[in-house]
Amino acid sequence: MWIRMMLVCFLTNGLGAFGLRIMSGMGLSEAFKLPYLMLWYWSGLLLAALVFFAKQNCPHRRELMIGGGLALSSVIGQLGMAYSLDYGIPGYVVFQVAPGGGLFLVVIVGIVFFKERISGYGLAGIILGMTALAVLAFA
Amino acid sequence: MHLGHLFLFVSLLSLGFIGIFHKLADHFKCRPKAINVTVFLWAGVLILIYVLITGRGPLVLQAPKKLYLVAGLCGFLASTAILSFQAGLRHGKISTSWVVINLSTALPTVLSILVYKERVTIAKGFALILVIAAILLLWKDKQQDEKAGSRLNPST
Repeated sequence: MWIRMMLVCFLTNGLGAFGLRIMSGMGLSEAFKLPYLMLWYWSGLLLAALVFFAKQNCPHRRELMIGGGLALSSVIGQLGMAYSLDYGIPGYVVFQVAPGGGLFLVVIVGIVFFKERISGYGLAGIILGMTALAVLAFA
Repeated sequence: MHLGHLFLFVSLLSLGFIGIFHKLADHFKCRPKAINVTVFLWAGVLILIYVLITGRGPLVLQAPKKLYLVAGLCGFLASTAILSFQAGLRHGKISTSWVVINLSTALPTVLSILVYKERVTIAKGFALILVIAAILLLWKDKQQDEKAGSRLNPST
């Protein structure tokens, strides 16, 4: 089940991110970055609401709070990257440091605080994954 | 350190916190569909407030129709991604799952090569091979977990 869900996630997340490249190809990414982000979140909400309210009625308080934390992190993360680019940090640094550092933080928290056990294969996968992302960012 | 570095640091922390909040949602047994709807609801509200405060509301109305189409479609895809990630996390670890979702950034690179005929450099080709190898290794890690689990609990 994990690999199936992760493959769906890999494909949809990757295809979803391609929208920014399409925008850039159309020459719209600079002027309409913010409207794009807003429409992106609202259309995501439309699908999420259709899926959720078809069978369930109301999110629980803890779901609202954790969802709020996720949303705040997502919006601040996106705006933080946009502003650091505006303040002259080169794109290859921003797109490498922010997601890469975030990834490192999550791996450390997973292992240290949630006591997740990683096999040799998993550790090699994490290191190779981080290397791949670093190479992609600088390529 | 100037302001740009500060924004970068805040961004790094925030992106990391996304993964940690996903893990917390799983830890507190939140329903994946509920998390998905609350994430997009709050984010939609926050970005709307930001757009209104910065006075960029009219820009949304001036946006070309194709922007609506691309953003709409990509928003749908992102919603599916978050839902499947949160659901998948019930069966896996955040430390490996978060690597997989981050590796999906390789897909736009592949599509850019195919659609926009971007040049395939040696570095890009090497990175894409590493992405595939990393996913296979993380899958193997998951299989090891399942084997260890069935050894501990043979009835499952």
